[in-house]
Amino acid sequence: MISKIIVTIFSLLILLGNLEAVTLKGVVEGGKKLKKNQAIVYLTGSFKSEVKSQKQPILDQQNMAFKPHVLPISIGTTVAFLNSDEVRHNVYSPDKEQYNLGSWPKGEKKTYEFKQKGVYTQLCNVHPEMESFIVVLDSPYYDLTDKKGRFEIKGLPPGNYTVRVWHEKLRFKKQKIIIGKPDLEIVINRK
Amino acid sequence: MKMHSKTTGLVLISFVISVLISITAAFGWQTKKTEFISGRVLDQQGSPINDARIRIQGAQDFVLSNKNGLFMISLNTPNRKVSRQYIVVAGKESFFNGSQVYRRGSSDLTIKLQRVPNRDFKDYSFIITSPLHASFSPNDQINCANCHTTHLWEWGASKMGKAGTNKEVMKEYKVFKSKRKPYQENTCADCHAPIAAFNNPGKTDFNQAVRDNSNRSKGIECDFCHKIKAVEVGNKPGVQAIDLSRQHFGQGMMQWIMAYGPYDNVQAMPMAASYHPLYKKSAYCSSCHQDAWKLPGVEKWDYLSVYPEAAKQDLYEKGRVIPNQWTYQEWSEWQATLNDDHQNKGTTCQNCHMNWSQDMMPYYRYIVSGEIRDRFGNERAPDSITPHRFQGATTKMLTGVANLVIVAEADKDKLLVNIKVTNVNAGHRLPTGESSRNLILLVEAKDGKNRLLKLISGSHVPEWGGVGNKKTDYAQHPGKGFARIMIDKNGKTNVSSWEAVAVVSDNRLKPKTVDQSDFLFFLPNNIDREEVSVTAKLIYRKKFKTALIKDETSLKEMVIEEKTIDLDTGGL
Ligand code: HEC
Ligand code: HEC
Ligand code: HEC
Ligand code: HEC
Ligand code: HEC
Ligand SMILES: [Cu+2]
Repeated sequence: MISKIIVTIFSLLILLGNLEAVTLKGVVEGGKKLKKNQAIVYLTGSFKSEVKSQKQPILDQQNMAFKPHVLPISIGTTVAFLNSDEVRHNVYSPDKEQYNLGSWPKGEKKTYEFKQKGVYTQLCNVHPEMESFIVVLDSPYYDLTDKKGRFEIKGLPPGNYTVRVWHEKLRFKKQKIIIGKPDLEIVINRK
Repeated sequence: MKMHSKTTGLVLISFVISVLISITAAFGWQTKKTEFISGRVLDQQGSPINDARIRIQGAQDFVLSNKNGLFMISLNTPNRKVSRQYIVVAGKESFFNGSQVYRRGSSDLTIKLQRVPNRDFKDYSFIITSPLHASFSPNDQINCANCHTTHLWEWGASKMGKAGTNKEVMKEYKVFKSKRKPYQENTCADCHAPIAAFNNPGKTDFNQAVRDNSNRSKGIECDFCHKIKAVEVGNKPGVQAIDLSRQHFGQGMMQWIMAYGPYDNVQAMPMAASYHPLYKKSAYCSSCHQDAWKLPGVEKWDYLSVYPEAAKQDLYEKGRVIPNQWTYQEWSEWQATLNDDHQNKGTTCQNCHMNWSQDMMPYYRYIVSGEIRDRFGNERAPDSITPHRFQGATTKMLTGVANLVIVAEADKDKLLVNIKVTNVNAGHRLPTGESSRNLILLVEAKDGKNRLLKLISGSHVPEWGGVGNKKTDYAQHPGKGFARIMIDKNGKTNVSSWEAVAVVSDNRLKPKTVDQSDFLFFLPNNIDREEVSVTAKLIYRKKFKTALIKDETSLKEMVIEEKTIDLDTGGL
């Protein structure tokens, strides 16, 4: 009897899980360049693009580099900019509304709210070689690829989507997918 | 009765005072007795020195002496280690840095500073900093490389450190020598081999200067740069704009090295160091990064047609000179456009060219190494140390220097493309320096099958981008070129500044400014709009392709920025 109940509960859970939280998995075939710099896989489609509940993401400056190198966020997210180095850094972006947050020493923090979709190149006017990207998406569904190019996007409601990839150097083919059945796996190739 | 009320009044007042005192005490306002070092800064004659910078050795904070030479340093600042004695150091322009030991509890301190002699000793022989030179001669003791090892590595790898062996300069000098006009000075060595040229400005043969073994100068030497006392900002080339202070004290093992520098707190054998604010200013670099060539007699060129903004100043000497190195002026024009509270106001050449980069981590905190460091080195804030790498248009410096924005839109059978190029990170024009430096913008629109769309209207890369069928021949390709173009008296374009009689155009990008251009491509109706993409590319070259004879290696082509957008997403 008890075991029966457990089994039903389990299968119910699995069913529920399958119905609601569909996961898209896959791999982006980008070779060595993906090992160095991550790509962002994101979905566009006819969903309501609501802000993904996210803590204030952080863009730090550490050992003369921005960390992380690529930061995907949804429109409306506020990012915190830190400096963990013993030299002053600056943060500015030449893109879209072109902001300059100024220069500040270790320990201080600045914030900026991103209201437009697009790629914001992050630069430091003290150290010309410093560069990173904040990618503002009008989609709550995205993931950064790992060293092998793999990604996983969870919690997708059923529907039609286009899977796209952003990478600072490489370009990839977009793909149209239908989410309905659980756990779709795809391979994304270069253009 | 009267008496009584008076006493109550007094009692009340004293009560109020004592309450006040105890309140202040409770808040810690008067509890600690502040301890100060006080003293005076005087010159050798005993006259007070005002505005000297005084600090406890190694501390970040400093105070200035007043007009009577008096100063006071608080010992109760947070982070200040308590000790029985302190070394107090003082620095002031045109004086050698000085110091005194202060023992706690002792009376006022007097720091005497010695004036740097006004005389410049022409017979001084420069200390040549070559790693090869490090042998056990008495001279070796004073080879900067022995103690400032990191500076040596950085500088030694830079073009300034190798100025005496640069093949490109030798090639160009050969041509210059054979074509030089009688009214032209032989100035190349004035900047490229300043030690040799200093005593013979405008007349020093560059080849001989760098071959001369007696001074073995293979670069712009540490000892030369650190003896620069004053710089005249203007069009005079190199040493002609520089005043030196060559001093020698002592000999052999006991020789002192006179050096100007950015610190007021260097007090260490063998340095005879003098704090000099010039070293943190762009004007310091103007000596060799700003000059012009004179035209013969009364010849002039129409400088206002190319540089209308120059009307206010007379840098082109009414059109009688042709700009050569112009980087300082470009920087200074940019700075003049900024408000005092602007982010980039006061950003100097040193800030960008003597700065930290990632491959240099971890930071160093000392400016000397080895045994000397243990004995005389002060631990310093990494921010105050300036790596001597003098990186110019290298891959690292060119990363992110320019930004590209592409906006594309389909309109019936046309594709409208707008390209914005911004000089985001150079503190002068992009490109700068030699006139041969150039930047090429290439624009391409493609359909889903990678076929190029045809340009209907819009600019092309000029001829100097390279005419022909090679992959690197960009002339006529949709796009644009950014350069300073000069002509000689026969109308030949893309010549060197010493051959030129006029600048005909200069569209190099000013700092932070945007260049916009529109391109219109033909977009046949049978092409799937969703698959159309636009690519823009920026290419940096050291030379004009058309000005090369054969050797393409000196082009040193670099793609510094590339962007592609899909028509359907507009960049994302
Ligand atoms: C082109 C001129 C130039 C050359 C060549 C040069 N320096 Fe400097 N040096 C400077 C300037 C300018 C500064 C001050 C920079 C600042 O503080 O912004 C400086 C600063 C310094 C300092 C102070 C500490 C620091 O790092 O800021 C030392 C020590 C020093 N130089 C040693 C050397 C040595 C050793 C060499 C040769 C290996 C050398 N310099 C070559 C111009 C030069
Ligand atoms: C025997 C070791 C030694 C040699 C050789 C030496 N230095 Fe120094 N130098 C020092 C020391 C020690 C300091 C101070 C270190 C500190 O305060 O941290 C110093 C400081 C300096 C400074 C900073 C001065 C200031 O006030 O800003 C400059 C500039 C400098 N040296 C240039 C040179 C040059 C140029 C040479 C070669 C011509 C040279 N040094 C050779 C040991 C040396
Ligand atoms: C805001 C940072 C910044 C400032 C300030 C700045 N530069 Fe540069 N500089 C750069 C960058 C980035 C480059 C590489 C792009 C280029 O060649 O324009 C560069 C390139 C150069 C080059 C190399 C040219 C070549 O052909 O290789 C020279 C020389 C130069 N700068 C000198 C100076 C001088 C002198 C000053 C001060 C008057 C100065 N710079 C101020 C950032 C700066
Ligand atoms: C005594 C003359 C002189 C002074 C002073 C001088 N420079 Fe230079 N600089 C040169 C010469 C000459 C070259 C070119 C060397 C070559 O390419 O062979 C050069 C090249 C450079 C380059 C380009 C290196 C490259 O990779 O292309 C930079 C950057 C630079 N200098 C920055 C500075 C800064 C910053 C200052 C001031 C702190 C300064 N220079 C002061 C003469 C000078
Ligand atoms: C006012 C100082 C000055 C004078 C005078 C001067 N130069 Fe230069 N030269 C520089 C500087 C600074 C640079 C570095 C800028 C750059 O690389 O764009 C440079 C760069 C060069 C380069 C490029 C080197 C390379 O590696 O690409 C050549 C070639 C050159 N000079 C040749 C000459 C010749 C030949 C003369 C004499 C006719 C001359 N210069 C006169 C300051 C000077
Ligand atoms: Cu930085």
